Amino acid sequence: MYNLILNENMKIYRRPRTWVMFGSIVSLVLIMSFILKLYGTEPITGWKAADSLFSLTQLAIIFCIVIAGDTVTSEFSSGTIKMLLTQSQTRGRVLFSKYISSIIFTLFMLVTCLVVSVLVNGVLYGFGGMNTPSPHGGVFHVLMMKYVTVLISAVMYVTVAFLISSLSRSNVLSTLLSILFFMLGPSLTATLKGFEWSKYILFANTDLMQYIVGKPMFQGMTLGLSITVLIVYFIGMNVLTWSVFSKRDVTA
Amino acid sequence: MKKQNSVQIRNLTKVIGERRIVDNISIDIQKGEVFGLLGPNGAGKTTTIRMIVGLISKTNGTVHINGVDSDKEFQKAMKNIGAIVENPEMYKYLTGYENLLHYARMGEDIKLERIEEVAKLVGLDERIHDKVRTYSLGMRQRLGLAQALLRKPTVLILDEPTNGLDPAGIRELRSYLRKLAKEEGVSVIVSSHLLSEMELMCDRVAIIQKGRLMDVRLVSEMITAPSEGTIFEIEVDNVEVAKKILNINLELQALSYDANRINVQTTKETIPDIISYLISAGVKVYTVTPKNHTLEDAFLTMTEGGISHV
Repeated sequence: MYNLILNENMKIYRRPRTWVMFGSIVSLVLIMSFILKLYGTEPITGWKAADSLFSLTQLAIIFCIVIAGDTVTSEFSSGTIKMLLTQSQTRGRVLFSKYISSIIFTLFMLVTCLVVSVLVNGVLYGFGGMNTPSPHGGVFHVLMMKYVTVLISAVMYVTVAFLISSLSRSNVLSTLLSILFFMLGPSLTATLKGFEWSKYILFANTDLMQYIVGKPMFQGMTLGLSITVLIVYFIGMNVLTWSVFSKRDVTA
Repeated sequence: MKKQNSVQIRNLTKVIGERRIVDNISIDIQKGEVFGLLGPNGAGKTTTIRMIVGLISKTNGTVHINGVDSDKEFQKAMKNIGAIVENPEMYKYLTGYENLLHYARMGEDIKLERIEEVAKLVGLDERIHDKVRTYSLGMRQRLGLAQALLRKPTVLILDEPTNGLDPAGIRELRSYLRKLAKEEGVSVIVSSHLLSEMELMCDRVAIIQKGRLMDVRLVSEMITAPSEGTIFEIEVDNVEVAKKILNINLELQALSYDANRINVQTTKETIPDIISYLISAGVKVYTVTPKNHTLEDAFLTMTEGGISHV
């Protein structure tokens, strides 16, 4: 299994576009940090500045969705899936190695986001003021909570992207659909306020920050409920992806 | 002498909707033979191959590779198979070496030296560290073959292997496949719609049409002329006179003729007589050409028969 994951990683990191993604995250952090430094009016610490760049993780998640979806569909569109599945490995193992590699990529992407924004702003303002109070706790503590919760939602969206790409035959369409779910899912779900079942929708639960800031999307939602819903979706989507992928006729 | 079967296909069937793409095909392929799947495009050759290597599900039937049921023990069965299904698609952004490394890692016990070995074997060792993007179609074809040979398979499955190869490449592949079969006992399954290719490459050929197995024949039997005699084409300056001479002296009827050629069915032994009668009657004989019963004739006879029976 280690070898299969090595393979998938080789296919992700030997492509230039992967480095373009990392490059754009790093350069966006740099550009925004310098703009803030040059034109910002409020007094600020390095940690607060890093926190203000948190929204870049949304772009990072889009990159993760692209990579995760593509890891399955590109094999079909290039025809390499025929070679990949006629080796002495079961489809389940091939799929699992792709999934693990996508999760590792997601981890890399978010860690890059965090480390670069902390480092750049630490250099600009110094690393002091870690425990400056903010409405929901020390600024460092809140930043960590944000990254942990965004990692959880990233894993969920990567799982969605994986499911869609194993159902679909089209590269572009499946990626587009996954990104649409990511961008519109939560806000569309919010419009379903008032329906009893709306709190069981995946997108109402992906962002666990709602419990830290104390504003759940719907009334009656609890952290325990959200975690349970996420686990159920996580298992359900993975089982569905696996069963579709392992039975699918490869006609590419 | 009964040889051991490497591949045993029983009642293989694929139904999509109402269409029977592959209809109840049973074939045994022996150790060390080159076996051809021959049929027009859309006959079900590729679907058959895809079912053998597990790319698509079977509606019915079983495939055993060296006695291992590929449905029950897929990994174990596939360990013995090297395959290229249609064009060998490689990762273009990786080098040839990285592509082979990728597939070597997927096998459990393939050493790194084996990569160098197969690269040399297919004559790619000088370009193996170049990106596949820069390879010609023929080179990609050879890289595909290298991939299929990595595991030292006992069954090699090639779908339309001569696609994109130049004549020299085809000849090379042919002799290489024959060598693999004869010297290392590898069973080779190739599919093609090119009859001439199959004639030169295979020991036995299965003729497939509309998803059905029409016949399995030894190539050597198919090419040999029937005992009744071969058709000879005789090129002369005066067809009318020649026809009369042959009719009167040898009781030969022209099967067909045009302005300067006559086709007659006869034996090799009669040819000197034909020539001497014609010459003594003042007819100029330019050429006498035997028209072989090729696989193509056999194929056409068979498939035409197949259609008319339906």
